[in-house]
Parts: sequence; C-alpha cells; structure tokens
Amino acid sequence: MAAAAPVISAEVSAPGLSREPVEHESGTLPKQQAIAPHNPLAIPVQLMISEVAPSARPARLLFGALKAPTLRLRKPIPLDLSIGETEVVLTWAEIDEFGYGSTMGDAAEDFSRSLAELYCRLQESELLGPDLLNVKQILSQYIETRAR
Amino acid sequence: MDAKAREIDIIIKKLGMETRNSRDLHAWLVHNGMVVVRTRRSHGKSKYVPADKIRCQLKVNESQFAGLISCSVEKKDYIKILTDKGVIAKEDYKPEVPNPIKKGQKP
Repeated sequence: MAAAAPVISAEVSAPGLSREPVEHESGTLPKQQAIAPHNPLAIPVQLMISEVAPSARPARLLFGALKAPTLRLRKPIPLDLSIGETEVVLTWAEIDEFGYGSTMGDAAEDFSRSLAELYCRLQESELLGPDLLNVKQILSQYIETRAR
Repeated sequence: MDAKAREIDIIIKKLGMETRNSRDLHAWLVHNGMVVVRTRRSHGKSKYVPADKIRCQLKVNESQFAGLISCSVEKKDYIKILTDKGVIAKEDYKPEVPNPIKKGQKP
C-alpha cells in the first residue's frame, strides 16, 4: 500500500485581488545594511572617481622599434607620452627628441625616423657643440650601427 | 603653446640654419663650423606643430622663443643666449661684428 503524501498547510484565500501587508507604510524599501566582510583575505579598495575618463594610453613606455635597417637598438628607450591638441607626442626628455602623430603608432614611427636621422647626422659631424656632443654620447649608449 | 609651421620656418630662416629635406625638414645651426643646435618639423598636412618640444630643442624659454618668432631676438642675441647656457662653449663665442662701411663704399 502506497504511503500517503504529506499534507502541507495551506490557506484558501478569498477570490479577487488582495494586498500583501507592507512592512513600511511609506512604501520605500528598508535601508540596506552593509555586510561586514568575513573573508580575511579581502583587500579594502578605495575608488577615485575622476571627471576625466581614464586613458588606455600609458604615460610612459619603452620604445624598441627602431625602423632603420642599418641601425640596432642596444636597449629600449624610455619615452614620455602626452596628448597634444589633436596629436599623440612621444618625448625622449634626456635628449629633447620627440615624435608625433595622430595615433601612438604614427608617433612611434615619426620618433623612429627622427632618431635615425639624428644619429646618422651626429655620426657624420666631427665638430659638435657641448650639448650635441652629450646627445651623441647618450645615443651611442642606446643605438649602434649594424655590422654588415 | 602651439606654433604654426610657418613660424618655425621663420626661426630657421632667421638663424640661417642648415636644412635637409627628407620626410621632415631637419635644421641644424652651425656656429664657427660647429653644429650646436638642431630641430625639425614635419611636412605633414597636420597643422599641429609641437612648439614646446621645438623650443626645448632650441634651448630657449618661452619669451625667448616668442622673440625668435617675432623680431625681438635676433641671431646675435640667440648666440649669446646659447653661450650663456653653455650650449656654445665660451671660447667659441665670437659675436658677429658688422663690417665698417668705408668712405665711398655703398652700404
């Protein structure tokens, strides 16, 4: 003989619409309570809301794409990135060299061309002023001519 | 601070800088046979010229840079500025002296 199903207590409501009793008469939801984190590994984070949208471009980068077949980079060059009115500007502050373009790629290409031109010109010149002599020395730490 | 390409050209011409036209216009100031300062500007269609970066390459402050674009800083003044800053060695500093006009010679 099969066992009888358990009887769950039920209430037969009257026909028609009825309102559920409201806990707060004003109709607003009760104030939410912050739940204290119990996770000991939880790390508190402070969010800074800025009016300026954050940029995906880095403020500094290491340049390593010298597009000159006769030259080779010994080590990456630290560049500062800034945004002009419409252009992206990459600056190597140590020697006051820069490149710019409408995109970061264009700016990097412009910088590469300019740097190669500067390196070659300084190699050609024997008589240089103190400042350009210093620029030449710094450049030689970063760039060398490829052996043929 | 953005200048126009034409204003950079004024400086290059005023200082009598050597130029080389490639994809960009490269300019070099040669003083007493010695290359002392360089700058460049792009030939691109873009109106943007990073004047502040060019100013740094020319080793001048903002008012001196404005003076180079206008008429207040001439080449001899600029050479003096570079000498004072050590960009030109003091022993290489030879101020340009205008040739004295002899009697009967047309100026």
